[in-house]
Parts: sequence; C-alpha cells; structure tokens
Amino acid sequence: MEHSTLELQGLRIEGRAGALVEDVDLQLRRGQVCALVGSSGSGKSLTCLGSLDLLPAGLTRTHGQLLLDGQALPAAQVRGRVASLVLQNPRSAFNPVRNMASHAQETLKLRGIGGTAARARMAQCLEAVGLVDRERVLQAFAFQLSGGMLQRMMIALALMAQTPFLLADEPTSDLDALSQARFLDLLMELVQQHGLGVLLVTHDMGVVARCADHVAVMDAGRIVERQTVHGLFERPASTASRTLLDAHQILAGSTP
Amino acid sequence: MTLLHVNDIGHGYRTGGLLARRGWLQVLDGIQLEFKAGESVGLLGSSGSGKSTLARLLLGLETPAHGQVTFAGQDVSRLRGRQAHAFQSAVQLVFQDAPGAFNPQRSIGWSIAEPLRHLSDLDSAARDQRVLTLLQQMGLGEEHAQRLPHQLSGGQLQRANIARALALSPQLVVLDEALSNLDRVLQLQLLQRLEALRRESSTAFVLITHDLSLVRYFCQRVLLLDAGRIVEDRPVDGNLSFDHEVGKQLQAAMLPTRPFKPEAANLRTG
Repeated sequence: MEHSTLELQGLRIEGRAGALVEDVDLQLRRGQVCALVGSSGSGKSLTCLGSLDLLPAGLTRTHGQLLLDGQALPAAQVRGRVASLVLQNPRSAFNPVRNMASHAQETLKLRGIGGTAARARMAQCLEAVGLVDRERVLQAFAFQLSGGMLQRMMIALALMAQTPFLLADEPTSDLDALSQARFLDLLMELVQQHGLGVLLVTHDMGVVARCADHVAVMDAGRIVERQTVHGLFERPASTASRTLLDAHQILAGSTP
Repeated sequence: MTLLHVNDIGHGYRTGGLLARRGWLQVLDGIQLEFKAGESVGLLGSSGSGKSTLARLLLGLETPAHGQVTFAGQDVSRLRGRQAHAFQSAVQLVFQDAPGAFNPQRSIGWSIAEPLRHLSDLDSAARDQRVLTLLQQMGLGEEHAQRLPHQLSGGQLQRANIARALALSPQLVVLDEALSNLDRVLQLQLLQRLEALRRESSTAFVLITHDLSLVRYFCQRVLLLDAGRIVEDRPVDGNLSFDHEVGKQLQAAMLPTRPFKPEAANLRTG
C-alpha cells in the first residue's frame, strides 16, 4: 500500500482540428472506483489513452501531468509500473503469434521475476481471475480464446504487473451479460480486497451503479459534472448525465 | 399469419482439421418454431448457445443438417429464381459488426441502395429518394448518404446498416446482436424507431441478444436457447422470470438500476 492517490491534472489533447479534450482533472484513490461516463465521442477513451501517453498518431497531449501522491511523474514511468490499462477490445491487445505464457513472461521479466517464481506468480494470477484451465490458457494464442477469457487474461497480466492502479476503458462492452457480471465481480473483489484504484470508462449507467464510488461526466471533451455515485443517480446536474440516466432507467425497467 | 416455420431442425459443424482428430459438434437440436407477422421475438442465450447459427439457418444461409425452415410453404435452402428473390426481400439479417458490413470504398448511400438495385424495379431517382427516406427513418440525414463508412461513428454506421436491411420493406428482420455495441441512449432510440415500424407496417423482428433489458423493452415473446435447444418459450410480461437455470443466470447477471454500495465517504472515514 505504498501509494494512495494517482491524479491527472489539466489534460489537453489536440488534433488537427483543435482541442479534443480540455482541462480534464481526475483523481484515483486506492480501493475506490472512479467512473468516467459520457456518450460516444465525448473524449473518454482519449482521456484514458492520453493520460498514459498512448495516443494514436496525429493527436498530441499539449498539457497535463500525472501526480502520484502529489509528485509529478512522466507517463512512461506510470505505464505498467503504477497503472495498468485494460482496453475494450482484448483481441487486438495481444500479439497474435505469441501465446499467453509468453505475454506473461514478458510482463514478469520487467519486474525481475523469472523461472519458478514466475510460474508460481502466473498460476496465482490466473487463478485470481478465474481462468481455471490454466495449462491450456497459457499455451493458447489469442484466437483460441473467447473474448471473456482474453479480458480475464488482460486483468491477470495487470495483476502480474502488480500495479496499484488500473485504467479500464469499456472493459465489458464486448462481453456477454454473464461474462460481464463475472468480470465486474472480479474487479470489485480486487478493489475491495487488494485495494486496487480504478478508473472505469463506460457509457453504461448499470456498470456505474454496480461499481463506482465517484463519477465524472464528460461531454464534448470536458468534464461537465463530478459527483458521488449516489448524488449522480439522485440529482443529475448536467444534460449529459440526465440523457444517459433516462435511457438507462427506461431500458432497465426502473423498478425501485 | 405465419412468416417462417422452423420444423424440427438440427445442425452442427465438423471440427478438427488436417492434424486434429475430426469430430462433429452438435450446435442445434430439435428446434421447432413459428414466427408471425408483426411480432417481435427475443432470442436469448449465453455465448455458444447456438443463437447465431439459428439466425443463419432462418435466413437460408446454411442448410440444416436435419429438418427444414419453410417460407410460404417452401424450404428456404432450396429456393431459386423469383422465389429466392421474394424470400430475400421478405427476410433480412443485421449483424453486430457494422464496419465489416459496408464496402469501405463506397458511399453509405450506395450501400443502402444495393438491395434496391438487385431486388426492386426502382429507377435511379426513386432509389435515391428511398435511401433518403430510410436514412431519415433511422435518424440520419441526407449528408450521411455521401459519406464513406469510416467517416461515420459506430452508432451512425449501425443505423445505416439497419436502414439497408429495411430498404425492401421486409416482413421479418433478424437483428443478431445488432444493438449490443451501442450505448443505451442509441439503443433506446433505435428500439423506439423499430417499434414504430412494427406497429405501422407489421414488420416482425427477431432480436438476438444476451441483454435481458432489451428483450423486456421491445419483445412480446422470448425464447431461451441453451446448448442448442429451446428451453423456454414464453410471453414477455411485467415481471418476466425464467424457470430454466440459464434464464435465471441471465437474470442474476442484470446490472442494478441504482447504486447499492454504501457511500464511499462513510466506507473510508467511518
């Protein structure tokens, strides 16, 4: 429990047409989930990628820094050491010509773990995420595993890296309802028992209701509202959050 | 009026390959169904339960290993010529992957007009008019017709995809996870538009999904598929609940409507 907060300050991302994300501040605490919500195209994913300096070509981060317990830290030192990233489409996040064991070895090697210690750590992390058929999974390539299994494998790799924080960009939107429920159960277990601090990017208010402590609402590249999850559901203040909540409540049947 | 009859179909795939031992994987077994005009039916099931295979068989894209799907008394996998055209105009399928469903080098308008060029007698001007009407029906505008697929967002592209499926005013539209990638706001808008269409022109829908809330909002009847068999077939009413294990699991997996965790502040400082 060496670090307790990870802060993003004044993030600004520019493309050719101008600023896409402006003045975004976020704060993550260990053992808590901060949800970043907004409709498609509001800049949620860019915020997530931009904070770790992983922007696609053509986009640049012109402002913004990461603070770990108040100390500024370059993104390159945060990535994989302080914060891991889990993306929406797990299939594209794996090297297609390397098996899962090889991905795991790479991650563990960076932390100076090898040999039997590495194998023990792999076993432990795969078990933690519920990948029980361990030998088969480790020998498998990405195309041989289902989306839900790959998403668990991403989390297992994040666990192996032993980062205190996790950034998850729409981690469940490609999963079916059962895999989604299992994934969120696992995530919350890691938050509550291992004190993981999570930034959860999502457009599903059901996911927010299930997991979040705090919510930041994004619209057109800016944070337009910040509330606790209870505050947001009871008194949504921005148009963006009301639109999302209305659709959620109509579709979810809004049974009290 | 019954549109499609599914008569005791079973289907499977050969597994293995050059090096692995060959086997047979039974995907569907003993499926007996009817789809009526103007009805919207939800098809629920977890991954690998055979939902998409059933969709492909309904459309005649594959021939079932056993039994048959009939449209107006004819086996859909044996239709040829005019009958095949009539069937293709009457039954349409929309997949989840919208970017993969469009020719990347052609405009959206061109793609939406594709079924009209092949299966209708409309001339060029009438086709353009029809494309415009379809785009508007799905909440898109004239400007979107000129754009290329990559110039549209995922949600816009999926709406264009559904617009194309509606081009020939089909009697039955199968939506295979077609709404799963969209956010709730878009899902709701699209379902409202499709519901209007169902009421006005008695178009029937089959909504294939694993999301119980969409079924509850949009469907009158729900089928639950597990390991290739229909394990439940029941009307959707106020408090939809299932007897079968898989239905119960799907119900338990539904996300909460409201937060239930104690306030974070209390948890931390309390």
